[in-house]
Amino acid sequence: MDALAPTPETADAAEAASLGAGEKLSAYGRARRQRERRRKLIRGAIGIGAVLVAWQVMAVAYDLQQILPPPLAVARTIFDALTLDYQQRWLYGPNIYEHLASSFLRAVTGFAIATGFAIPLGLCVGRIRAVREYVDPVIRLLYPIPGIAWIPLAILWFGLGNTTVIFVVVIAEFFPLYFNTEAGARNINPILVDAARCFGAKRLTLLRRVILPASIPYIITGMRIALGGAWRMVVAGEMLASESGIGSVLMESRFQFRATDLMMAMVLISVVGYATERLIVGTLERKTTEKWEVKIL
Amino acid sequence: MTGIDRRHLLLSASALIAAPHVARAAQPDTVRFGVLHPNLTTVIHEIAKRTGAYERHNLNVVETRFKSGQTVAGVEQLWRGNLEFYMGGAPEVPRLNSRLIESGSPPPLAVVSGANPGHTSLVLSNKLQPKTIDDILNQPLRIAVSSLSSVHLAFFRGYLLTEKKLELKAIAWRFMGIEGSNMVPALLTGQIDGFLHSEPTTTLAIVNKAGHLFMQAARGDMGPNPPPATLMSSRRDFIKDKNEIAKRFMLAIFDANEAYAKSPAEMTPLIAEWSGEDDKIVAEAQERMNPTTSLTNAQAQKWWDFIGTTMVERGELSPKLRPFPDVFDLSLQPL
Repeated sequence: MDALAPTPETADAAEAASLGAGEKLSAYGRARRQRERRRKLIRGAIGIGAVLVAWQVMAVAYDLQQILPPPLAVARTIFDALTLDYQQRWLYGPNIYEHLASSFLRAVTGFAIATGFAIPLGLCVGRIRAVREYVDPVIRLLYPIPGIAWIPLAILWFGLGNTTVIFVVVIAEFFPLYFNTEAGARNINPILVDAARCFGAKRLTLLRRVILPASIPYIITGMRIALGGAWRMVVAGEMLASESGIGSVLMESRFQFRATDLMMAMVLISVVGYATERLIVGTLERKTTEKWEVKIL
Repeated sequence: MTGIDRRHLLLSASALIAAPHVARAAQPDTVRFGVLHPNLTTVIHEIAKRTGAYERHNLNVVETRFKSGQTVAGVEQLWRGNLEFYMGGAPEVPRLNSRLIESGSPPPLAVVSGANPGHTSLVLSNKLQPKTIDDILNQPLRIAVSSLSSVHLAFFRGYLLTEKKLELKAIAWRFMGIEGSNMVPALLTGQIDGFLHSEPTTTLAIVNKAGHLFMQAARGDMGPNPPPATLMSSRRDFIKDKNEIAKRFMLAIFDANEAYAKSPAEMTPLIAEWSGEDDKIVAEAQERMNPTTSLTNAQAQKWWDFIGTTMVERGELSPKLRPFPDVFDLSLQPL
């Protein structure tokens, strides 16, 4: 149940689901949704703008350029890196696109493997008491070990490079996915299951038509948390056990005392992480939660 | 006033005035020293400590240890004013000074001394037995370095450029950043084909039969008169404001140099303790190292010609950076 504590993600999912119900076709509903989008956009822009202004003022007023480069300098560095037109020499191996692609592949592969293990297991544990009693203690014992603590062992097992980073991502992202799925599967309204059984639904049909759709808001929330975590772990893994990827750029720019490059890498991680989340989880959400009009009860 | 005459009164007053100065003189001055540990290259500090050199020069040296590959953290601490001296890898100080010069500020740090000339070894896996380096430059070898900014990589780059007239990117090797302590296991398990590092990693690899010493800068394999691989740095404001303390610190280091030079073999157990290595490993490693710490103008210039200029060409250092006075300050030696 711990993983079920309401989070901003669950609230968003519920809101999105509730908005979908009944309002999809009405003009009023469309207008309301547009208004809400605009409001969100404006408020978000104001929030980001305020942070950028505070950042610029801090950097300039306190003469912190060496340790906190102003956002304009970081923006210029990002532009130079993305256009492969460097004001200063590029010191980090291949160009930024290759590093981003390496990190993206690691994050997505680790996330996909974790999803492949955690969701079926979470559904089984959530619905089958015997499985829960065997598996849950093991999972709860492993859960407190931070993902980063697996890195030395992973280096020992898999050496340096992709496999180690992916392994660490899988280990770290398994838990949010598992706990959310398990909570979703365990908290399905029994009336829904009984009703489906009354209509003659057998195990697979029950899973496909009731359990999975009813658990999906929780699964989506788990995926959203896990994908953010995947990026965190990829960067941590690359900083310690890889010579490519955005994490290695981050580490190397520290060795070069280039705070602007360091912040460029951080901003790119944030942007690519956000875009990945929108692309994968957002698409999945539209095709499931919103389409099926399910919400957390 | 009975029982005390004018003479005694004046004497007492003088004693009262002089007392704080006398007390202060007796109290040792604190010097915060950052040092790579466990590491053979920085053992001169332990020798100074254990032979009482710091006490003799009325210094209380507070040591902060940094792990292999973490010189950047030590240099950051030096720059932030949390240390007075730092001893470890080399390229970070010119890099930091270069960043400051690029932004229009004066360079805050200075290299004041150096140790371990040519302390860079290229160890190769036993599977690789080339006759000359030219045989392997075009092979896609995986070579470990403690970081892509490692002094040993910078040294090797300098060697390629000056001796072979080759850029690093012209060879087929792939350099991988691995912590020094992981290099021998990685070599043993075939995850890498070799490494560029110093002692004791080299000796450990040889003793454990993980690899063989293919090139060693100290014996001239990477060119004559190799420059120091370990540098000691300080803050320029400290050297200026507390010059007398800085000089005393260097005198203590020179005492330690003498103690080591007198009998390197006697120092083996002490070095073993400092580095956490076996006595036998240390004794063997000592043949390939010289931890005595001093720096001449010629050595500093050689360091710049060999390592600094390749860093400028690579874009790591600003072309505006000059070795003297922006990087080196040799005013603390010879004393």
